Amino acid sequence: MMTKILEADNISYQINHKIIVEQLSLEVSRGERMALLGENGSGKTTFLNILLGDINPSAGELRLFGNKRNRDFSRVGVLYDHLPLFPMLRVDEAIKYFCVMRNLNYRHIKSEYYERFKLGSIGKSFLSQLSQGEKKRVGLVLAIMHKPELLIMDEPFANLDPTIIPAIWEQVSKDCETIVFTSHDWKGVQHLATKIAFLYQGKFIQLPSPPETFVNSLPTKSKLVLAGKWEKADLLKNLPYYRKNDSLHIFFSRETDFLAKVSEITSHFSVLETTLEDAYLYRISQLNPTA
Amino acid sequence: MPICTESLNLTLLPDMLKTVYISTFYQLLIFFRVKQGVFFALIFPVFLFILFGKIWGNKNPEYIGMLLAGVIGMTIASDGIFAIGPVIKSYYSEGLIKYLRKLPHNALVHFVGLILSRIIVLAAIIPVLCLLAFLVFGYKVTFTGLLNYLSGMVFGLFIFSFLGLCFNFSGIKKQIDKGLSSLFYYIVLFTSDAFYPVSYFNEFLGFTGNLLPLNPILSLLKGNGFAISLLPWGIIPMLLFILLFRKVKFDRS
Repeated sequence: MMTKILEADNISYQINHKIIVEQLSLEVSRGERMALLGENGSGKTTFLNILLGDINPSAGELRLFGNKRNRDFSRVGVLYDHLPLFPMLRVDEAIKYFCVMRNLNYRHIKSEYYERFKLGSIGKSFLSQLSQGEKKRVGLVLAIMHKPELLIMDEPFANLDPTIIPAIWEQVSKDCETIVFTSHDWKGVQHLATKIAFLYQGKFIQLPSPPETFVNSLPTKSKLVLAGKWEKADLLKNLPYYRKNDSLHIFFSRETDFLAKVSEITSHFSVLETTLEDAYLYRISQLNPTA
Repeated sequence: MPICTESLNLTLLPDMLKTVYISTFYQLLIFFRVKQGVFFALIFPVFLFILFGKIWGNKNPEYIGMLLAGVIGMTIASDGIFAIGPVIKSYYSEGLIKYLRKLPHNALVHFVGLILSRIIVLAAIIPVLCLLAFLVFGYKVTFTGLLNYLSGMVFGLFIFSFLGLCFNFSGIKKQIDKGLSSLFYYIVLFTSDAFYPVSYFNEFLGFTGNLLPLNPILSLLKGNGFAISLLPWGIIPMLLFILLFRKVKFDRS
């Protein structure tokens, strides 16, 4: 049986009578990489803050490494969505500071992480002078350099140069077996996470499952994206779809003549493979059929 | 900076001491990088001491002794109110404390480092002012006088730090703290006997000054003993801060 690293049972949080997250339950076992996905305001960051003990839940129970009360965060690596570290320290100094706090050898850390995370050129810069992407790289090193048993990250790839994400992820997953993270990079997450939880309006809209489960649960593997209001068109009868902004995303099978029929009416469409984002948005459309 | 982390063998220090040391070191480093802080903690007191001393103290050595204690008292008050409370508040409001809480040592270690760094700065300015008093005005500070300054520094920093923390944490969500702290600081300073005996000019102002914490601290600095009016200032702000601290919650981000 896999060791449970993090357990959340029916976690709810409300502020000023407004429910932010409601009855969230999940289990993260050793070796799992759990991604929390959802639109802005769905409760991802609040839930992470609750997992990290920064916010007390209104209801529910949390266990970290099986411990309900004395949660040991020294075995956890944390990356918040911003890096609020001492702005008047230089990058090297901040890393040295954390090395002392964590009883690590700075020279060893420097040789292990600086090149991969491209910190050499910004080592002498003040933290206040860094760009968002540079701050994120520093934050990632600070989060993983002690090789935590559990890594919790809020938007780890936001503002990062896409070309270095694979190298960074390789190091992150090498140093940390178990990861919980939020992201808006739906495409990337599909390859990085072993489990995904969809959050919508503070609730999980499906049980946390492997990414392929979500994609496979869609009606078809192809979709047609059509601009405009076509909901009442006859050719859409009995076809599953959802609306996103001004376009209609219609699931169809390539074996049917649907594509030919659409081509007769308009050429303003595109055909795409279905993704994780489709799974999320389609599920939401099912929950709110009138929206 | 003359202090160097790598030149000292930190492995010989117990873990907690090591973290306090490194925290103090980096807080000092940060302090020296903020020009405003250096000006108000180091240059401004020296400037005021020489200026007021030259105006009123040349033919009056007693005034130099009073002024020396006054300038030290003023520096303690401004450091306590402005250099500790706002920094700790910013740790909370900017989310830094969330990071520090995830480190192996108690987050208080970082506060201890901050307070120690301020004590070091104050402890450094006292001998500088004493030396200036001797070199510029020929005023000699005795060993007992130096001890009085140090004890006044400890009490003063304690009281004014908690006052600063109260002001900052009472307005943690609104940006009113700075105005309140400044208002309180200037009322305390201008009703105190830091630069001249206020009660000679105006009894009401003198009475007000005696109720506020700086005059009793000045009394300690001058070696006139512990004034009982200092007691509530030592207890109430601390208790109030504990109450305010418990009410602080992190914002959802």
